[in-house]
Amino acid sequence: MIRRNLDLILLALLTIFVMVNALAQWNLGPVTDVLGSAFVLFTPGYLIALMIFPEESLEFPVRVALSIGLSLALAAIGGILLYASGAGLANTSWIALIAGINIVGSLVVLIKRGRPDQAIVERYVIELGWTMGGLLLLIVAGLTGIILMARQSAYDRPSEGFTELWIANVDQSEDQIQIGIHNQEHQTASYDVVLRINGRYIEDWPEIELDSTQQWVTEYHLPPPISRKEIVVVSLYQTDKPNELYRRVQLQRDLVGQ
Amino acid sequence: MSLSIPVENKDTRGIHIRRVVIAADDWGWLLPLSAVVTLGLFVVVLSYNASRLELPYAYPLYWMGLLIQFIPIAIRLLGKPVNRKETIGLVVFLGFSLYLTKLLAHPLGLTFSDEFQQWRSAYDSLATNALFTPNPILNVSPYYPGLQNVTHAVVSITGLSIFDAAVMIIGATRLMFMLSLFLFFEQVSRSHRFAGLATLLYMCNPAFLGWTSYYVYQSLALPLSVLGLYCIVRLSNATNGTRFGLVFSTLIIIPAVIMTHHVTAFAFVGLLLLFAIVPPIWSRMNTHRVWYAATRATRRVSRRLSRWFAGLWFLARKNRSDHFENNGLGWLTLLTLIGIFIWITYVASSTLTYLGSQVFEIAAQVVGILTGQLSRASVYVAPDRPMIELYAGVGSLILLVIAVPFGMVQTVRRYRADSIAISMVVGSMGLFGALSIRFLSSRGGELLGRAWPYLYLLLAFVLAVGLFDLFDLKRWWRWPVRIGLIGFLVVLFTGGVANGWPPYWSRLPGQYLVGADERSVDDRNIAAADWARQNIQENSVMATDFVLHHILGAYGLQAPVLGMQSLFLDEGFGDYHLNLVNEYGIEYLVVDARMSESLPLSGFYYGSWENTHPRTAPANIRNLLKYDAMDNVSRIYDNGSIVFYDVRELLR
Repeated sequence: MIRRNLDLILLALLTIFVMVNALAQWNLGPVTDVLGSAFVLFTPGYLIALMIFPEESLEFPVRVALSIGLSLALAAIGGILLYASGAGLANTSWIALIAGINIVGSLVVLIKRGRPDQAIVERYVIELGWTMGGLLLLIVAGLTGIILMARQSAYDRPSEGFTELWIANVDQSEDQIQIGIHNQEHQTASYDVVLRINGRYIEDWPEIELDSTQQWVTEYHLPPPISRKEIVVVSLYQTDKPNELYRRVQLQRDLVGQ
Repeated sequence: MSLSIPVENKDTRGIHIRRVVIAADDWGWLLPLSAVVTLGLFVVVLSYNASRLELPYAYPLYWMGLLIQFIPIAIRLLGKPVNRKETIGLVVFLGFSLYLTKLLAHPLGLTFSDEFQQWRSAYDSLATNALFTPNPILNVSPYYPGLQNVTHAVVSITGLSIFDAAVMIIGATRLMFMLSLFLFFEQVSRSHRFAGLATLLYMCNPAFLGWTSYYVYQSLALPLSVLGLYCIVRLSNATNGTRFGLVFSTLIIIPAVIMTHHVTAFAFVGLLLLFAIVPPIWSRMNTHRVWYAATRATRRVSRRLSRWFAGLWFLARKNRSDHFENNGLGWLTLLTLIGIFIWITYVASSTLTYLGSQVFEIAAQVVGILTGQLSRASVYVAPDRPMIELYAGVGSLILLVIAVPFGMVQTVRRYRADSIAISMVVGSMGLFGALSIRFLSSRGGELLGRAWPYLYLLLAFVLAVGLFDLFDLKRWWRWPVRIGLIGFLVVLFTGGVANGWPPYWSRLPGQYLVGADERSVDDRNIAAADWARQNIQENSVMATDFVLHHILGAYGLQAPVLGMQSLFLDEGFGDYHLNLVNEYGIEYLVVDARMSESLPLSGFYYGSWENTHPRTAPANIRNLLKYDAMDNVSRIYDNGSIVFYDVRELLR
């Protein structure tokens, strides 16, 4: 009994794992990723194929193609059904839908397998010699290594560093501004920030030292306006190059009516 | 060589368990050749690393890696008879390896403009747990939610990012695609050797390496439709036991295709129409009178051609059978047509305007050229590419034009009583129509690029039949012909890559390039999009270039508009520009100052319509940044390349 329905038992365990994982909100990294993906992209199609076809007609390539294809099609249609039903496309709705298909499918297949005319079950046994087994391991290891190498190389790609500078009004106020710097130079950098209004020096923030990817954000209350139209300019300098303008942003204050 | 050994054991409860033993011999050359393909993939990844370091040998290394993957499999499948398991293993492994070839160029995130469009739809459905949220960078996308739904399910259940979920989904889809292709071709040809070769030939299509590997709705819909075709073709001669399963599977797959991708749904129903309509027409036309008239007509051209036609007449007259005329696909075709009609009428009505505008534009250009109102030079600009790719690309098209008619004749000879095979022969003639449009319209290249995956379903089969007869020649010149055929496959494959997407300048990863689609996506414009998402209200209207349009629309969650090039490229800012800003409600202008550094490699900065009037000089930096000195415009963000201007004051 157990040997005959090993696939159904594994699917039941997978379904239980996904449900418990969702309830307990575990984060098991790649385990959740792989098993969760298999739950969506393989299991419903596998069970539906077993339900609707005589098992002996489902040779291995057809079984795999139908399992993935029907799972994808069911997820595509299932989303519409969940949306139309008002349940929405939430995590719980998806789990309920797919687990429901899996439970019903498993029961039907279990009953089907109990019938004498459907009693032939195929079990695939792959026989590999040492040489072929070693080669297979080598290929799997090779592919894993290639993927890791490609990802690492993409992470380490040479790219020119840069710095982001921005200015914004705070809460639509014309008087309160926010100034921000984001260091993306791939190294620690030191900046000087100077604020001017209509070319007039107002404030500066010298030697702001930021680690790579670190941000600096400050809010500043502007002085009362002295002319109808004011241009608030924020200039950014690298501390080691004080005479070379590095970035510049500006806000225009139109004070008509104030 | 031993085959699978089914061993039936009776367990204690009287149940038969059939042990299918796949013996070591069954694997044949699968594992050694898979190791070689893996080596080819390794060489490709080395070429990517070299390209990131701007080393000169990256480009030849890339091609070497591709050929190391392709040639051994081609030689094996064209050589001595290979058993079915090994054939399936070889084509599936090669197909998957070619998917990794594309993926590993950019293994950390999406880079292609159409992928950003899908990302936005998937993000919106995840953020709202709802469907049909308007997508500002591709209006039609939310109304085809198949891919979004699958992504939503995977992301919700695993917690993966959209990109990682996309890798899982397209990877699984690729596995299913390769199996479905093989099974479909095998079902039509009733030969695993033909099916293996046809699947290999399918991988030569220009869309295989790129388009069908991207995270776009076609990458899901196309494999589903091929699986549907397999079920449908198998259905036409199924036994009672499998009939229910095949009908049920087809009835799940058809709506999934319809709600996943419009063009695939149309192509799918087109193929069904072909399979349903051609056999009865062929049978009715297949009369002595028609053939006699054709033979007489061709005698005026050449006696040899006439004799050839007479031979075909003899063969074609043999295919009359009731089953041939009535393969039972009419009702499925009708059902699919009704499904598409309902979906477009009640859900995705924007499809008609989206696709209609492109079709009308192409039709107008073709008519314009045929009537002499337009010059060919005004609509067709030959892509600029390295000489070797030009030769491979043009060579592959010439070989196709020569080989397809040969394959068609061979298919008629070999499968004259098979309605699906004859329908595929008739459908293969679409190659000539598609090629004509390619050279008669500026959008023809794009159209052909989209048509290849569907057209090749027919061409690959017809070519496989044609090639196989040549390969089994018994005379002394068998070996030269075999070597020639391997060469044919290599040219077809390399030409397919050269003619396809991505083009040579964005095929390998590396430093930022101007107007180069995937090569224009870098840390700076992604940082700008991240900043916009955090600091600017969602769905603010922005005018920008083609690349930033997609990145800001996706990662920035903004609503950029296209076609605003005059705001950036014109020297001044006058009433026309002010009206433009107000008409479209533009709140922000986003400039990538690097556009002034060189001409765009794709031929355009802002949209493909620029291609018909090629630029001679890069964008002027003064024009791009003219807003620095303009009243009522604030320069709110600067990262050294990308600048945001707030122009909301102009809307008052």
